Amino acid sequence: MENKAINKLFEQKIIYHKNIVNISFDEKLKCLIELQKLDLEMKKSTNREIKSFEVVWNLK
Amino acid sequence: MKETLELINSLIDEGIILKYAIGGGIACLYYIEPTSTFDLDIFVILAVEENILNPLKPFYEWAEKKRFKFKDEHIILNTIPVQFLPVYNDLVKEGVENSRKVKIQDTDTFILSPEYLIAIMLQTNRAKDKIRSLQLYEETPLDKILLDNILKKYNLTDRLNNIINLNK
Repeated sequence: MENKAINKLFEQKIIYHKNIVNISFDEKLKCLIELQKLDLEMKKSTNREIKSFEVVWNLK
Repeated sequence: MKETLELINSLIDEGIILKYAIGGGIACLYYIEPTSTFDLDIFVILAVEENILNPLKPFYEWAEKKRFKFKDEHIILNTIPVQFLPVYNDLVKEGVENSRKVKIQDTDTFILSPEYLIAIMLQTNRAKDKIRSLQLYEETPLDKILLDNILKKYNLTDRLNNIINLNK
């Protein structure tokens, strides 16, 4: 890959990180719930153990 | 989250804890990008003398009185599984004592500072702690002098350097 393309990718990665780190805590909580759902789906589909406390938060 | 934090704050008013701080995955979520976590870890300094054989007794009694549900080692506070962890060594105690007062969803609460969070995760040293400590180190504005002092005091400097070098 050309240096230019690598630099572009790297730039995008930095922008992504800055955006995702700087979103509000409430937005992060919304992301967390989506991540929890994905995590549980993945565990179910791969028959991994689901601990009893692993409930998806019902945040208002 | 708001109601959960209010319930935790009420433990101070009820004389069960002196001070607390959010730690673990949710504290990381506050500072860095979201990663999946299912429980809310609360490090606490107890107001009553600790029962060595059953340090969580005051929380279970409180939760039973309020009719909250339990799941394993967690108390479910407004749908969120909360794990209360009495401070178990000098580093964690110092972290709680020096925690940051922040507002989450209009509620005052306390959260471990990123410097103490890094040190505690380096001490715990599980795979996910190593990843999160590096993320915190790279993505969060830190008081580097404070971090250096904490790491030196608790002999954790080499652990951080090893993780940084592995990532190079």
